[in-house]
Amino acid sequence: MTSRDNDQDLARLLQEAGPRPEVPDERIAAAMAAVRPAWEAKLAEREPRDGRWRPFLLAAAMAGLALLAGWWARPFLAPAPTAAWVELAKGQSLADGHPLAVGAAVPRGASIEVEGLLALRLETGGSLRLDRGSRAHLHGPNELELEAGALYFDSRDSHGTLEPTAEAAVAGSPAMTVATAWGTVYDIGTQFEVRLRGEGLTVRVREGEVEVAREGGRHRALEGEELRLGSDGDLARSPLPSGSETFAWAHEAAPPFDFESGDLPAFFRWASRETGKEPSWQPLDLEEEIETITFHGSVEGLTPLEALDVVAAATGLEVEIVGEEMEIRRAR
Amino acid sequence: MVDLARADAEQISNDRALVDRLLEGDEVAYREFFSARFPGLFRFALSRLDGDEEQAQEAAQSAFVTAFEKLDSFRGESTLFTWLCGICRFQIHDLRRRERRRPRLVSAETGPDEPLSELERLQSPEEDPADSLERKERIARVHQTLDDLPPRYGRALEWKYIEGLPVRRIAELLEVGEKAAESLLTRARDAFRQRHDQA
Repeated sequence: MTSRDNDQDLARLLQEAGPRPEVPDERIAAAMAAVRPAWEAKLAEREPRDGRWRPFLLAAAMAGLALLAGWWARPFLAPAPTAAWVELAKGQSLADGHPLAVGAAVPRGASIEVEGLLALRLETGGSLRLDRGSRAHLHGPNELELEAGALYFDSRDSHGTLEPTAEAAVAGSPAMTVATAWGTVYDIGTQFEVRLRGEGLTVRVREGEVEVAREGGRHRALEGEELRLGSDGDLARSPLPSGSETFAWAHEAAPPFDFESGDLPAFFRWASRETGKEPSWQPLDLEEEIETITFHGSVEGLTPLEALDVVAAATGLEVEIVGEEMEIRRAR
Repeated sequence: MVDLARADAEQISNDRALVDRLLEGDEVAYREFFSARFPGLFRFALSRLDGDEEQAQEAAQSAFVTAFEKLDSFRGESTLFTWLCGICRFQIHDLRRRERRRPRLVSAETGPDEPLSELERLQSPEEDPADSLERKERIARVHQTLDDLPPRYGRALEWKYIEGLPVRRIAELLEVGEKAAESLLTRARDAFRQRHDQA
């Protein structure tokens, strides 16, 4: 292709897009005024660093050097660093040929084979689940190669908090990259499923946004969409299939909620995230009221929907799934 | 031939210098930062929020607030604009979640006032909805790439290829000689192609 052809392609691309929409000066001025307190707070926060903090900075620098020396010596002292921990294992799963049990560390670079269901908590805080019959290489806590089967990824931690995976995206890198033979999937703060099927790939986005790159282009899949990519370059986009079967296997592989580290409202937020149903409190202040209730027990081995029934019954509440909402009220 | 890695490194180095000035409390840098990057971030949010200007303003503004809170953690692994877009994605995400939780008005006669889905909104009788969505994404990506370039590059490309201005006029607008304008256009084209392929 000549540079003239290249130039014409560029011209076509820019002409199709047209000029960028203008942003009125008033909008920019309003934003400048609204954001200024955050800038000033940042400046105030940095002030003490001058002068009297120097001895502490020196000590921190020396500690940094010590850490660096430790890092340099790492290959001689330690095995491969951990990329994830097992949170749930149903049936047999292997990492580099060794059986995996709950609590086991999975090193970077591990080859994983899943016969049952496997849920991992990644070092970055996200949840990774692998379906029956999956084969994958976990290159790191945010990089995986899927050879067969299906995975489900949730970039939030078990309490639905965005940190620390959000930090990765803030730094300009995705929280998870999934390489497959048919394209590479980049997460942008999401819950999504990637499934290999014969000669192609299906991506289902439950929340947030995903980008799939393959030879010939990049395709964005938004919340509530399914993208099917064929090996022949075909692309089909459709809304997510409705019904409870869509992410059923991922619900089954959900790590149990831990009541040792979370209260009752946190449990309902977890259940909402796992089921994709928005909580609707009736009355609205019920959410605050139940903060005083302490639940003793475990929901281990139960799917999120089963756990909801058990916890609601034990705490005098009633939960009903209505469309895309989870209605929570006092038991009649 | 332009050394693209060097061009990128130069932009990131300029961004880091701007961040240093912001952290020193430089008022001029604050104005520069906003006038150069807020419009692009607003458009970025607008294209992801179905053209809702108020929500786009809220998302872009919140992204700037978070960016200032984390400003000393900017490591220059990407350009400042790409970093801002990363933050803004999370603000958009949270806005959508809040939106879903908002009470909705339901009319007994007409049922819930559901907004049109993205596909329905874009569909025209002549165009396949999937094609329409792809076109919208293509346009958003071009605008986002232009916004990620140094502002003079983005403007020069628009003047040349969208408005069809001759190089002499572009040189006048940039307040440089014709040769310098030609050279800037070459760098701008290369930088655009590189970032567009990465976007």
